[in-house]
Amino acid sequence: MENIITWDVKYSVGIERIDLEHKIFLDLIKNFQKEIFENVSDERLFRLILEIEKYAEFHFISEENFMKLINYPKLEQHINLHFDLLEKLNVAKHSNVNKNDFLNFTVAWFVNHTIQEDKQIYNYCKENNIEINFKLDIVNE
Amino acid sequence: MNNILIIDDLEENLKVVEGILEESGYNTQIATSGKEGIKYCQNIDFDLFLIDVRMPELNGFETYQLIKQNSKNINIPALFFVAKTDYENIPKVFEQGGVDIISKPFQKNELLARVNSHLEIHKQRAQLMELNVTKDKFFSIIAHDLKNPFNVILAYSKELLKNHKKYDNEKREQLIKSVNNNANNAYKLLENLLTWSQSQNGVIKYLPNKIHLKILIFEIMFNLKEQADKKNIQVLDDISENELIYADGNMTAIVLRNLISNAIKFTANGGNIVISSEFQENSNFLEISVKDSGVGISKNKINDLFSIDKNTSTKGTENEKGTGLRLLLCKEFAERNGGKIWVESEVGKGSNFKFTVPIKNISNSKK
Ligand SMILES: Nc1ncnc2c1ncn2[C@@H]1O[C@H](COP(=O)(O)OP(=O)(O)OP(=O)(O)O)[C@@H](O)[C@H]1O
Ligand SMILES: [Fe+2]
Repeated sequence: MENIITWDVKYSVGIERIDLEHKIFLDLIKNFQKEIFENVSDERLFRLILEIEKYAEFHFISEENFMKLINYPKLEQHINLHFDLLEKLNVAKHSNVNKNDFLNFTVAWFVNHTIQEDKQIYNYCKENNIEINFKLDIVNE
Repeated sequence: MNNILIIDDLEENLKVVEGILEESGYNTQIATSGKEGIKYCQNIDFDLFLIDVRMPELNGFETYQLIKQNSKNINIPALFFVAKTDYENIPKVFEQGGVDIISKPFQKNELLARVNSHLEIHKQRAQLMELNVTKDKFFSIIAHDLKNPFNVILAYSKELLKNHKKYDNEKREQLIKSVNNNANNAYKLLENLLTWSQSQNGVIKYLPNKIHLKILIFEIMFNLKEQADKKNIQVLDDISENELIYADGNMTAIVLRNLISNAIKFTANGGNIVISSEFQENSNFLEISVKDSGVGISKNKINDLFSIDKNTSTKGTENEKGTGLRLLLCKEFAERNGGKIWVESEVGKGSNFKFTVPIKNISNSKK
């Protein structure tokens, strides 16, 4: 089984809490790949998709809350991108010709959305000297 | 009753939803924009809408409002697709008249269950509304049409009781005639009401049989002959000798009797009526026609003739009063036989009432 994707500094958006969530998201994707490879039951894959789905929802709200906090000007645009992603996730999970399609969809989503869109949030903070205070206490203790 | 219109700008989602619904036996129509959906609504009757909220140009809510404004699908419930985290639009769905949301992503079984239960609610609602209209019609008939003849009967019979000795024979006879006429009217109305209420309550059972049409019409004409002769109306039976139909005899007789009796009533002295039949090609139906040379019916009234919430009753050529109930009975029973009823008419030239009956056992007729 080739490794479909691994965390890399190039995926870091520079906001600790968001990075952490992205890492968990990656972990879910990688686990999904592993279990497809192990030929687990459809029921099990369905539950894993559900987990990814729920985590995506959670993560989007986290990001949106952060954007609101810093008065991010492209907030509405970014929220709409999240809606688009959820709609596409829906399509991907129902077009279950092949569970690999769903996998590929999530990977492409991670790479594109994170690098292109989420990084802009960080850039905005930098350009406007906004102090980023979005850390996880448990990590820093 | 399961024609569903799905409107979404995301074509892949249309395909997913269409696939799930068709697999479960629903008819679907898909549209990739609000505009396209509205266009379909002008020609097709739907039972349910599934509309995406976020669409370019017309959004889902605007689309639904426009559909409700100017098309034949005014009272059709809509379910809206909303992204799971779109917390702004979720409550708006209900403010905008939607009956439910389907979140994206959704679960297949959940989608089916929601669609199914809203179709069911919609169906029951339509039935309730129909029942309510029927009930209103009943009460309005009892309150107005039945009360009038009794007013006359009571007043005139009281007058006769008190003063009959004072009147000369001619005057007395006139009053008695009035009482009798009104009693007749009241009785006719009661009879129609009773038949109608029985048909509504399902008391009258549909019992189809092979029926010899010519004989049936002969029996009906036997009772209507006097009425026609009084107005010198010639009734021509143009049905071929061995025309057989497969229908409920009583119901078919009620339809024919009422149509012929109306034809006599709305045709002036010396006119004529033709009863004929024609086989409908490529179908299992015979088309029966009752054509008169009477007063005819205006275009704007024709549409209301068979509808229960409009009273279209007018007096006959000899001022015969009516209840406006018989065409409703005709429609009811023509349809229970599995057929249809309609009319072609021109004011001043005459009317041609037509209905269809099956010629052989077809199982999908309404029971
Ligand atoms: N053959 C006809 N020619 C012209 N008008 C007709 C004809 N048949 C029906 N109509 C119109 O349709 C109306 C409704 O007819 P319907 O038979 O239901 O009730 P009605 O004739 O008024 O009352 P009733 O049936 O109690 O005599 C009539 O009042 C009349 O205006
Ligand atoms: Fe994002």
